Amino acid sequence: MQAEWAARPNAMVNAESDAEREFRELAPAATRLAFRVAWSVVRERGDAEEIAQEALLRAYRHFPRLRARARFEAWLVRVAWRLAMDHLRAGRRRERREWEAGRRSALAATPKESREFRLALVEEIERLPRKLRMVLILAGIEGYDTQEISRLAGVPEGTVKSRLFLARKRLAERLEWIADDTKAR
Amino acid sequence: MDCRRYKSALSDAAAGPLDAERQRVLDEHLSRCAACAARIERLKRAMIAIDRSLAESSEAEPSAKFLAFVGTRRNVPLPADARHSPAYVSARTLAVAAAVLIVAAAAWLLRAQLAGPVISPGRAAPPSVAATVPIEPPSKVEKLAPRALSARAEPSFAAATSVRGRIARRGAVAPNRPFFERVKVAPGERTAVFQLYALLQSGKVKPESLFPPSRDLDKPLKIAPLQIEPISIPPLEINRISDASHDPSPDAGSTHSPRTDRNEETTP
Repeated sequence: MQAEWAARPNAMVNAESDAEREFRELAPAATRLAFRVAWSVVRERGDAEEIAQEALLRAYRHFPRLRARARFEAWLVRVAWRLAMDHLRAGRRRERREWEAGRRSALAATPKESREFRLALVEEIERLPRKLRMVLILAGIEGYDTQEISRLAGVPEGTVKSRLFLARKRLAERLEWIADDTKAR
Repeated sequence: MDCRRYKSALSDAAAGPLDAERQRVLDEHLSRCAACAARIERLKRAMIAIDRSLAESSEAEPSAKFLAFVGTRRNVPLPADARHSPAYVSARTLAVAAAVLIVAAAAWLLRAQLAGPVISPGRAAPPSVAATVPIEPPSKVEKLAPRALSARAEPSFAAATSVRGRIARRGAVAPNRPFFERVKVAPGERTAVFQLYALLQSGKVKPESLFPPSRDLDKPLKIAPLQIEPISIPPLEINRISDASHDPSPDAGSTHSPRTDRNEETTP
């Protein structure tokens, strides 16, 4: 089985709309974007790919109605993040698998980067206001610079910088306990 | 020593560089306060852990299998073997069905207006040119529906077949020879249209089978008269409230009305 937008035969490709053509051009980058956002939450490749696929499918279905195409990536990030958070909170079995994967990964070599910290980090990012969260995800997870984020979010660069600063500051305050040696877990 | 004044500055310093004056004031405080010095160290270490955790995600890559699955490596144009895929076959079948429906609808509408021209199987045009739909000669059309022909028959056909604006009428219609409509067919539907013509030519499909049986326009329609039963409505009887309540047996010679009674009652 192929993805919905990949299964179009030649006969149909010729008749595809501008929106579909545009989506196909954006799809490669969007796939990686959705995957990374999902992976940052679930930290498991299979689950992240599943979430990314679902996010892309939703994006494909809503793409013709998406008014601001320039902000498509920001929209996709929101969808992928939401799906990943739902997925994370959904099942205990998945959490066990993540726990095992976390122990196997290089992440586990650093005591502070424990599974508990990772889950707490995700939850704290989720608690951030939407605007701060978006900037933090695009900058921290995707590695976009302020200029790119400014274009995607549709706000000035100065706003992006202040939002990023505020988001990191709040996270540091809320996750200060991770560096507290007296409360070692 | 009031450490609360420096609480925000500590977080700010952990998240990014402060301006010179603010940094100087904070440093001065940190040199005297061990608790705040320890806190800013914790905040900075937490910040590093957060940044490191986020950065790990930026290095994550989906598997090649997944990328192939979602089609990111299968950009337009698709490989040639896609023509033999089941998806292509089903789409072609759909296109054939759509073409049949379009032609049938066009011919049916034309038939309804001109009372009888039928798409007859003609020579198949090569696939590189637009499809040519032969219509019956105007002489027959004129015999059947002279009024429609005198009003120029082709617009009705063009209107009937103007599917998504792809129809282009070309050439003038000569009065005594068959006229043709050149129909622009989308590249994706061209194959299906020519397959339909091939079926019509080979006789496997009869044109009549594509259209619903037409009604004989000369024969008047028999419509049963509408049966409407008369409804008897009893005359409306209105009893004045004051008549019933005030005086059930009014005096025939009395001339004052109940309204006058009410006015008298309310008027002191």
